Amino acid sequence: MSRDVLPGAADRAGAVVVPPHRTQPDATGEAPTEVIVAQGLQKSFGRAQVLRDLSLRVDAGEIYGLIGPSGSGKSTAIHLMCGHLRPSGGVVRVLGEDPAAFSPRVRRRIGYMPQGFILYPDLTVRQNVAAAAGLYEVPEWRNRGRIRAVLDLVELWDARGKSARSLSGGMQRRLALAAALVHDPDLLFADEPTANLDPILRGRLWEHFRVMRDGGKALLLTTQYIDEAEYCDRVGLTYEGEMLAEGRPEDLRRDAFGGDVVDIAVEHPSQDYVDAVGGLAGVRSVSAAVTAGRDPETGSDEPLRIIVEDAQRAIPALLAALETAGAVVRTVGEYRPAFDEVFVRLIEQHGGRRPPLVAMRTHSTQHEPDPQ
Amino acid sequence: MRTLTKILSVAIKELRELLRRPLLVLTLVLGPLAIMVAFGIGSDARFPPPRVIIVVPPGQERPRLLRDYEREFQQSISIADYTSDEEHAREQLRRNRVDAVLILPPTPYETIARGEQAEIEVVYNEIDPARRWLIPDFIRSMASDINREIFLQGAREQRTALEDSSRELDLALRGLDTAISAVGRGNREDALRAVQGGAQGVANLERALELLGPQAEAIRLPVERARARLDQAEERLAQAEDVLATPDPRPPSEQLGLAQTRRDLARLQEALEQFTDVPPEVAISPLGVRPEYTARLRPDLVVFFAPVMLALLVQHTAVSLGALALVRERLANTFELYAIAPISPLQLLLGKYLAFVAFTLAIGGTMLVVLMGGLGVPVFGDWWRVALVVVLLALSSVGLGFALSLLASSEQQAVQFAMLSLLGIVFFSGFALPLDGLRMPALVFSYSLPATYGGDLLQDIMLRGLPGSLTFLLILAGLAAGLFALSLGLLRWRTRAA
Repeated sequence: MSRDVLPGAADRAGAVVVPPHRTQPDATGEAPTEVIVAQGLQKSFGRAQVLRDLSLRVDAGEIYGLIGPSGSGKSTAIHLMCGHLRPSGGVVRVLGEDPAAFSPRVRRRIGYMPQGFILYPDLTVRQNVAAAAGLYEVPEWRNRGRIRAVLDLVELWDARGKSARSLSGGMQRRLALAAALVHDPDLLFADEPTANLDPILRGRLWEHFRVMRDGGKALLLTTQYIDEAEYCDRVGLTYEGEMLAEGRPEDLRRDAFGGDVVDIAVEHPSQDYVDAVGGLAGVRSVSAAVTAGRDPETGSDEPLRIIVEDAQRAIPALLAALETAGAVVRTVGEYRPAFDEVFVRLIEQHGGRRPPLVAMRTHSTQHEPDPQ
Repeated sequence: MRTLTKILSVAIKELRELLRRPLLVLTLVLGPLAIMVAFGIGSDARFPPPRVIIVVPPGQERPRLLRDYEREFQQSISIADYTSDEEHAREQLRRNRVDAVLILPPTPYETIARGEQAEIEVVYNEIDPARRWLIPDFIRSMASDINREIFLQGAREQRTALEDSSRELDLALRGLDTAISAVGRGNREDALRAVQGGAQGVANLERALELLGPQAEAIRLPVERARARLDQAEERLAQAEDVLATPDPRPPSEQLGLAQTRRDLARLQEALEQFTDVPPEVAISPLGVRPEYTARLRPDLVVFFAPVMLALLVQHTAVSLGALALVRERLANTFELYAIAPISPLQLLLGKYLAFVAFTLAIGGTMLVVLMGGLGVPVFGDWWRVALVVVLLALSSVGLGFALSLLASSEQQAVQFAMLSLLGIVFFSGFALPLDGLRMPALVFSYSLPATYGGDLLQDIMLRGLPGSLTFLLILAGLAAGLFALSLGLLRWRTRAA
């Protein structure tokens, strides 16, 4: 299947332009292999519609992140793709099969890490992983090395004798991930895999995800940590059951701000400077708000924020124009807005309400330390 | 091979979970077992005799009836007190301090002598349905003992009277022999004396017969006839010296009726001997019962119910653990893992069956060893039959537990289901109440429970050495198959996509 634009998302996205999906041949000259294809997925529970017309595609060798606040339909989407739920509308194919009727061959290729802890609280860490391995035809009596490897990966080997019940929330997440990876799946569904993990371990997991990706595996992850979008190859932003935008993180950032963002700090900023750069080719806008005065914390003047089509090409022209206008430029650089800012902008452009703070999490503000 | 790997992995996981929850196993399995053993050891399944206050007639501190039949009174009832204050006794009854009040008749012997029945009044207010009918029964049993004793005494007195009668009859017969001999010799004087002696003997016999009362009515008539004949013979001997000289072709003894009288009395003596040969105990209870116990074992209550307890424990263990197993996983969303993993509901269920049946068999085997070693419960039948029944019982009970688990909407509800199942076994499987005493619809419950069949079969095989009912065995196998199918259907229903 080939799809450049997610029709449902584009129709409702209004001003949000959904970037074209990558269909070009990769470095090896082969077209990407479709692992997940969802088209117009809908899900209702009674009269409550929790997912509206979600479409996406995940290829082999790709990390796809479904990002959105709590209740935006991320987990429902995963349940639909795993076959736990049947869609109320739309079509989904995973590894070429309908999730409602997965063959054992396909099931063996899928790993699933649920949002909550659904393993066996009375068993030890090692026994839990062994039990999960057994379900995937990886008997523990022939795969002790594999079990140790995944426990090492999630740094739980030393806790292998502890009962799952006695683990902290973060350790339980790691255990769930180990259980999902123990059979070396080709496709990993992971619902909030990094929730409650410390930054170091989170970094290790993302590193492992990238290794999986580089090995040709496909990963569909959800997260409430907006900044984790940076780690994904492609991101789908969901909000209130809808896909607001989909694309590479960099593309989404550009879409949110209307182009590249260049910040130029000048001495004594004035309207003359704004006018000097505002008329240049490739300049889309100059933020008026930044001319308001000095930064109260640093005491320095706030920079001019200029939205351009291409920062690398625009910066020399901008500097020249300012110099011509008599400005003394202190600093110049491309501003990379944090992804939560991108996300908020996209929602606002979509006409939605700003999501409540508690529903959007960033690691800097919402991290719960992992005792391990 | 892949299928076997998955089934074994599930089974190992289940066994590990069970072994890592020893407290739960102890509570669920050994708790009810301990209660049942305590019940079995501590109960002899008999009701104690009722506590009774005896109200004696005023002025009679120890009435003759009590003195004469003290043993009979104390055999059937527990005498709490004697009093002549009937109101006090009734008050004690109202306060439930005694079970009954017995009011003795004021003059029982005189009443009986008048040919009337002397009645002991029984007052009771028991509301327990199981004991209510027992109190009059205990009292009736006591009255029956007393009546029997009275009969026995009467029979002994009659026997003495009969022996006396027999002696008198013997005397009369000897007198008649002497008289007949004397008449034959023509010695009237001797004949007269002998006849008079015989007549005296018959008169004594008549008096003795009076002591026998109405029972002697049948023999009184021939005795009276003999008496009349003897009186006549005596009169003729006394008045007519020519009796012996009368030209009569018959012998003189025939002429005087002495020979006929002797024949009558001789027949009477034969009849009396038959009476006197019968002991009084036989006379009052002509038909006795001689029970012969032919079972290989005379089990006490604990041993008798041991096979039923084994069946009960096997079912309870399997149902309780099975009921908790699936509901926990379902409510914890572990079914999500099963739904996406390459394991089918059938393989999952087989793995769980394997673990729970193995665990149940281990518990059942341990209990069997305890029953045999600790309580001396024998196994007279074939071991393989015992094993077959226990395996079928475990299979059907695990199926029942899984079905309940898949129907329960919470872990608490699953525990309640397991407890209801336990109550069902206790009341309807023949453990506490015999199945013969149950009616519809209770019997429907009884014959829906695997333990009902298991208990019956195990009792037959272990204690009676019988093969057990083939029908019950087939029903148990059918239950196991049916409950497996039901569990599989429910599991598929619970794991299907919403």
